[in-house]
Amino acid sequence: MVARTPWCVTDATVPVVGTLLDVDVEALVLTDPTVVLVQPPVQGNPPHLADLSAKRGWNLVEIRINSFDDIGRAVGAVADALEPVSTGPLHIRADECMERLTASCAPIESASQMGGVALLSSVRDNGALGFGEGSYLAQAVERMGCHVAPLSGPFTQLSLEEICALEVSTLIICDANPDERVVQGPLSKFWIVLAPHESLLMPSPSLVDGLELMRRSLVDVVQLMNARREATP
Amino acid sequence: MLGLIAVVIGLVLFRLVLGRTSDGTLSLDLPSGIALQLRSGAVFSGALAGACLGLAGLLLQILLRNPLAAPSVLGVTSGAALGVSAATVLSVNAGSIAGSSFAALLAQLGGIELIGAMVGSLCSLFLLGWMARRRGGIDPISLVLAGVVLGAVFGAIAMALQWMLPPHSRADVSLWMMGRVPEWPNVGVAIVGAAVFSLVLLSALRQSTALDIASASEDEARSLGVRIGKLRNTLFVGAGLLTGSAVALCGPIAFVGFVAPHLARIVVGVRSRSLIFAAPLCGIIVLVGADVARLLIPTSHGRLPVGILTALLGGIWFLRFIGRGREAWS
Repeated sequence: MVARTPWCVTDATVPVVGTLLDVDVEALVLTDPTVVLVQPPVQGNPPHLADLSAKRGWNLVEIRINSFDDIGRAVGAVADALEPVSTGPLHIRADECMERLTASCAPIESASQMGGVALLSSVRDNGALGFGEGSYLAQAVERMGCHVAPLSGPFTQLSLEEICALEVSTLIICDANPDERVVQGPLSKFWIVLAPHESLLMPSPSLVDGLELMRRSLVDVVQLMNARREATP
Repeated sequence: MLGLIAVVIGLVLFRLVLGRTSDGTLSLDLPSGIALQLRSGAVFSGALAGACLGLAGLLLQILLRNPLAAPSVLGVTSGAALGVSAATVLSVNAGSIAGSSFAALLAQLGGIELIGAMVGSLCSLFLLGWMARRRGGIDPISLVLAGVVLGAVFGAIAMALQWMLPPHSRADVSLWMMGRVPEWPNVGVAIVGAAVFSLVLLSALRQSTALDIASASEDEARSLGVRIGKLRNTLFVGAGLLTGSAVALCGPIAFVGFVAPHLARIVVGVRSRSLIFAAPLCGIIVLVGADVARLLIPTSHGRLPVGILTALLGGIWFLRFIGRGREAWS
């Protein structure tokens, strides 16, 4: 890797060449890449990036990471772009990644009895950001067999009252610093799973680690729920 | 005045019965349990911040004899927001700085935001007074220009500080900068805000006659024995503390401090004693009203941040005011 955006945290020593909406063309040219991976914004790639890639012979590869399936496709696309032989070491590595990704979202036994799950981030005293149908996190949790609370969109700002009115038993909170007063106050009626935000909120090589951790926590919640249910006469 | 109180009570009751579910459906119901606590929290936060901003705006307009003066117009709100941004950077890096356990404890209590907002707003008022001073007095045009410049500079520094935060904290601060109404307000911040509001309100009431005289001209005030410098300094500090309390509670909410005193003048006239009660009530109407309005506006991304609505309302009012006042000024 010869260049990155500021959001890429894989290797901080690699030079930053701006963001897709604000490409530092001079810095990008200086790094002399062979492959440029882009996640196109809603308005499409900047036209000068395509022109520059054509002139300098860069392989411009577009990847989209909206849904869970997109992540698998992106891993395959990166391997295809960097290695022409489909049996080479990068393709083998990509296959291993996909196997781990699939395993990390394997169905959890009795997950359907959990009574619904809501995925939240940025939990503050005026609400939180909810991940609904269409977001890759919600799709990953649904693959684990949990029912994710329906929201009005894939990313919806919810008030605390709206969260409390959700018909779910468990909140998965992907947040570096959730407001403890809120978690122990109005949200205390829910089962809380604190998920590793660094690996889950941005698709990165550590996404699988984050999903595995989240799955283990959900398994614990299911077991605790079952134990409580059995103990209740 | 009674009409204002009736509107405030009506608005508060409407906010208490107005609910919305996660799928966007509106409902009118008598809340109970946690829903009642959360709606009461939102009403209390909106009312306290609105009252603080209304009173701060009134004091600034009277003391500076400038109808355009308001915490957000003069850069005081931006100064408070800069203080909170600096405090956030400090608390995020609390593990790597000296006195980290104290900083972390303050952050947990919400005190770091409160101190940041108070220090930021007071410093910006001090800078503003210094920049707008001309031949022993405060020049109204220099004041507004200095406020605009200070607001831009503070905003730029706040953005630079946000850029230094990790991506997840950066998004949080960006959302905070749009203004919000907390449903589960920090008790410490709320108590300090209520205490500051009560103290400044009492202090302003005690000096209401002096405020009436000060609103005429500086020479006239001096000839009638009003120590204009002391009055201005005391109530400037009060306005700074009120703005700091409101920003610590609800984030930088624009134009409430500008609109509320003008609404109050329409209702109760220009006497300071009446205005000191009416401006906070009008602040409550604007901010709680904006909170109600955002519940009624359907969007697919959830509720709009309240600061967007107050900025739209205040901005239109500001332009209308400038349009009407242009002839008189020229």
